[in-house]
Amino acid sequence: MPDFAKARTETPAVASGVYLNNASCSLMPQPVIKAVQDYFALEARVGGYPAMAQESAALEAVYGSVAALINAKPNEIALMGSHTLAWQSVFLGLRFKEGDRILTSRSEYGANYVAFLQMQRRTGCVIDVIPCGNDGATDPLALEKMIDDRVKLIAINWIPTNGGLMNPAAEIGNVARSHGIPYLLDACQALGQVPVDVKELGCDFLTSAGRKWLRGPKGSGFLYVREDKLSAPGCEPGIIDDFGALWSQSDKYEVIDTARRFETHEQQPALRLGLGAAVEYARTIGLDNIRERVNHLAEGLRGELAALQGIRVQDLGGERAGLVTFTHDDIPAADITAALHKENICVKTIPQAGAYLDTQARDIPELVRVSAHYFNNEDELEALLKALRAAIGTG
Amino acid sequence: MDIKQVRSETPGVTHRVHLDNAGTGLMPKPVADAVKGHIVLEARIGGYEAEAQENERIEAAYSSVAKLIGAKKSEIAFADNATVAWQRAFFAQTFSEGERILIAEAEYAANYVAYLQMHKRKGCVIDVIPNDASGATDPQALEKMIDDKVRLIAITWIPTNGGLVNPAASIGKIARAHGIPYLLDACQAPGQMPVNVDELGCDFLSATGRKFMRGPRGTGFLYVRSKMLGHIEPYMLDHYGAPWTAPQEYEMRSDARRFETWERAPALHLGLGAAADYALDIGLKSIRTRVTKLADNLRDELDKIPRITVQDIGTQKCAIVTFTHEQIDSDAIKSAMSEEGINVSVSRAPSTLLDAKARNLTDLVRVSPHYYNSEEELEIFLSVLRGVTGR
Repeated sequence: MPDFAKARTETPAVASGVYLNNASCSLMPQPVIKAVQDYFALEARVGGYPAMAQESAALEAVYGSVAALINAKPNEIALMGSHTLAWQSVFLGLRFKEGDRILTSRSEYGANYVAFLQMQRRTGCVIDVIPCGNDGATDPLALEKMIDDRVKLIAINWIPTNGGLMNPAAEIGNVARSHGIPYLLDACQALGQVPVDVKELGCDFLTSAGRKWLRGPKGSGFLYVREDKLSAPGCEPGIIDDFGALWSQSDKYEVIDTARRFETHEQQPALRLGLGAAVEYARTIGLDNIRERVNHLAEGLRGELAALQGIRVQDLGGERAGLVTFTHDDIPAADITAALHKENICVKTIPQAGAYLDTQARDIPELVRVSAHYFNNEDELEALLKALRAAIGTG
Repeated sequence: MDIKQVRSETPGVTHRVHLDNAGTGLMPKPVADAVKGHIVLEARIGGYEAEAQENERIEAAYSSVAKLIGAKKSEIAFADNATVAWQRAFFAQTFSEGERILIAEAEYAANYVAYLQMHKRKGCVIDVIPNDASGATDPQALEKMIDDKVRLIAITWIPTNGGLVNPAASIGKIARAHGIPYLLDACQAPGQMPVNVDELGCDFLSATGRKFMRGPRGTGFLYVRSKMLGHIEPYMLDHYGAPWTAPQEYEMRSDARRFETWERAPALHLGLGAAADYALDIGLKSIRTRVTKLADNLRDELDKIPRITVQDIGTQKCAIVTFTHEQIDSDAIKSAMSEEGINVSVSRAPSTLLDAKARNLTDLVRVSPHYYNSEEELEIFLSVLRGVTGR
């Protein structure tokens, strides 16, 4: 059994309040903070490029760590400044014509859906939403029936921003691969809370931030690109520079052969090292252990919430992640979040526009989201429930 | 300017002779503290919570950057780096087959590869504005090139590979007279000289934080002229640049932040703001006076060393000094410097391929002093160089 109590002592922030907003941005553990700070100190001491040269082995090792985390090869990894940059770089590199179809999930995140709408306006491509099964998860059987030769991309999120739902990403991968359709998986909420294996998922592209369950710094993210995609013609980022492509002749450029073609020359080494430290920290604890613990805390919380008068747990899906969402019959979510904040308990209100298609289909205005990580403990959840009972008048 | 004080606020000077400010400047203490302070706060209370608590200071960072270039706060977008800032502006332009982009000969590779990508995608044409006799982009030649096919003028103000300062304001006058959008890559300018977007007449200006501004790596910014904000749509939008207002609708923000994304690193933005404040406090005019003096002296001294050729072109020159040696290659000079704790860099031909080919350049040694460098440091550099080249 991993030492979650030790992980807690290595998390300075737990002393200042009950932090249950790990799905937004988790708390960095000490080794991550140290990696970032040490590198900044080095830069201030010896200069930016000399610092990078001195730490080149450590910076290179970050690719290996991220690759090991998701069962990929280091040459399939690009380190990015954020999840959005990673996702956009892939999405905008794909070419769409009028009538081409993008298939997505009902739970799609606002950042991605706005990009779909923009692409639709620009090219006349069509956005089609894959229906959900009875449990509210994206339905692979329904997807199979939608496939035709106009489908140019399947782009879904694995775990949405607004609930415990886990879409069946691997089953969707099977469908995508059997038809040879590019599959872009937004795994922003998955990394660091569940084991991730790109071979099992069958995705061609996978994107994530570092700041969420991985506990890395803000300003870090990464992209996975399957090796056989890299050697396929036309696999180009939406926007390229002289790092991703070599300016070989005055009128020609050649993209480099690794996933780093999606990066730009300018980068932030301190945050990359922070990301690497976060990945190693998670791997040391073990993703299976983390998954078990996070699930245990989330399921326990759902049970307690369901017993409270007026509270409705709003999580969909059969298999669930560590995001717990609920509404109250009379009290707006924002009021509940504010009441909890007064008790020094940090949770998040998810607005309708976070995942518009889903919230509209389910007729939910906004939700309270509670996301407990492995370093949180039962006492903290008890404190949350106590404050919640007081806020809704059942205490 | 109190050199002693600025040096005392620059921890790096006690460890290295840092003469690569065109690569990355050394962060002064207030910049490093701003970044570290916010990382600590994030670790203590959480990322978004820290952002909310520091909201006023983050907003003030936009005002500081705006002030640095004579813009309005609403005209500034922050970016992960200068490349991303520039790309966001460039890819927001729309081109049809046969439409022309006019560029400078000293164009930076990052930009040129993007032109080629756009050419491949849209069939637009890339035309290089000729240089005048001094090697600077020639505004008169530009004037003669203008026709109704010209869709964009995009130049690098100060190239990566030398002291050249292109006549950005004269080019701006032509762009404005013909109503052609003007994108200025000013990566090397802010922090080493006064910058004023109205004098420059540019519609878009991109820059980085990590060079002469002395900000943290991982920062850059984009200026977008107010009148452009009426219609221009970024190539990449997310729900921050364009809130998802109804299931099938989005609406762009009215300010330049439509070019940003929701995800950001506030610690770095605070560092960028602190760097702008620091430069403004010292004064950009006195900074320019000092770096110009240091660089000019350096060129004079280099000229006196046998077999060394200073490679800077143009009449107006900045703090970037480049040279070659007849026999010793530039990497060997850089390594010899590094062994003595002196940071310089090497500018390679592929970084500015058009210029390198036109001038038949190989790799150049690039030395870029900043105001906090002392005369003694330059003397140390020169004496090591004399030793290396005198062997």
